[in-house]
Amino acid sequence: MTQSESYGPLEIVIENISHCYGEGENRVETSRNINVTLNAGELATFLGPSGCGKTTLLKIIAGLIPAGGGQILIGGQSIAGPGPDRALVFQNFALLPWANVLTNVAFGLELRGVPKEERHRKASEAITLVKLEGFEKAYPHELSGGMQQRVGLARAFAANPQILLMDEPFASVDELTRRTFQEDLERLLLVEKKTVVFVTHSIDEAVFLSDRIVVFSERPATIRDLIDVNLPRPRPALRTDPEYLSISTRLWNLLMVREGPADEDQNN
Amino acid sequence: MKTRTTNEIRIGETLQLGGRKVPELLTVIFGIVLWEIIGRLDITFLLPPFSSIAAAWAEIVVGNRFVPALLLSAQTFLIGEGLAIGAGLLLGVLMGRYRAVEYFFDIWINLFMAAPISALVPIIMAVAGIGNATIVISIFLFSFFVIVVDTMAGVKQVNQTLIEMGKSFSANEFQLMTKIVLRAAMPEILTGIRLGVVRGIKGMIVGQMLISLVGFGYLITTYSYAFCMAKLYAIILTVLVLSMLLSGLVGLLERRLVFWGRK
Repeated sequence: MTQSESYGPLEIVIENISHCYGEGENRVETSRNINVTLNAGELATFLGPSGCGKTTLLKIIAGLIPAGGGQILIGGQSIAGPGPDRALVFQNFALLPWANVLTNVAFGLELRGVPKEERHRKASEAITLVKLEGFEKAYPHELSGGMQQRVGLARAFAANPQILLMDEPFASVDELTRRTFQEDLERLLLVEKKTVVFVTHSIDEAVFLSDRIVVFSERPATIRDLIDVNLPRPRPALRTDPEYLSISTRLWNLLMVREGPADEDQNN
Repeated sequence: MKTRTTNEIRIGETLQLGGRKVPELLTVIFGIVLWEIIGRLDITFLLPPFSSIAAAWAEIVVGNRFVPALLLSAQTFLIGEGLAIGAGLLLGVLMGRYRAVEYFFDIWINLFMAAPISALVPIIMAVAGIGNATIVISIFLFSFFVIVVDTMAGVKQVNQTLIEMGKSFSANEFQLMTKIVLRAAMPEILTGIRLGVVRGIKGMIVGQMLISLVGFGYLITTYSYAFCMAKLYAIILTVLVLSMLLSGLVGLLERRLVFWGRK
């Protein structure tokens, strides 16, 4: 697959972002003055307690939710909405139940007016990439949760974005599938260079996948810490590495400051 | 025997006889046999035996009134029901998608859902005259509102994540509607159309009877005034069967299009 080589991954600058919803007494502040730069080609995770506003921030980057204040710069340009430079992977997959795998994967391209033959070709490539060959004609309800998310991932890859935004993508699949998925994603990103923003509340997942972890406080989200993970890639066997464990411990301590063990809601 | 544990709300097995499931058709045959017996007891001339109704039906079908009545009814029904489906889908989708449109029309739709439309038909006649136009309007009014309500319900419960997904790929409003919303609301839309078709046939008969005295409505009126009970039942049963066939057809379409088991 060579289609992404003509594009380089892009840098994301989150500049002074604030957001709230509701009005008057019902007003809820979800994030406050968030400033961070995510480097081009890096995988950054947003880690924080459930409901802290990290998904909202991801959707602001996606251009789906307007920021209350501040701006998002992608490759130096301020964004005004969704764009072909970004693709989103959803927690509950967001697949069209009436369409087969091939049509689902090609759907992003279909919306952008790519002719059928071309989008089916690109979709087939993406399907191969996520190891779903042979399932092109299957429908989502015939697939397991893990396979459904592979379809969601393939749909994002088929659109060939420079930035991949992933909203707790493995939260609704079982632990074993999740591990395989994490390893596959890592391998995939070594080939397909992209800037990735990955929302999770799993410490294990964050340490395993990230180049950099952005740790959020409870709502309203503020950045509590930035942690660089400089472990060599690929990392399939690293989950017992001392460095890995020390970062994990540090994150546990950070997140346990105000609440009980964070692993209670890892499977939410 | 297999015990069903999947649906805890339903109590008991389906109707069984000697360990076998009773086919639905058998219950119909049971009703017909009962009808035949009561009819032959000659309790009242209002209920002739089923066999004489079948004979009357055969007589009517080869007679010179049935085919023109059928063709005329089919023609007006197609126009009235077509308009009701088209307009019903449009308004239902707009109401489901735009709060302001729902706010404006909601009370009116509910009003007309509850209104005795039959009582309005004579008023329509005063405006549209004694002719097919009145029957078309009658079909429309009987059918339109339920299609609007069901379509709106379907559109309102479209999975928001799918819309978000579409937007994330820069879909415009038209694409969101045609490629996601309409398709995702299809189960409810088809239910609305199925109910609308059945109501539309009622509207057609009411229109034909009350005003124009044409088609099946004319036959029903003629036979009932003349107390030709067998022929009257034959026509009523014909209309019933046609109505069930049409709704069955939509049901078939429903099963073809909505195969992913959304409940």
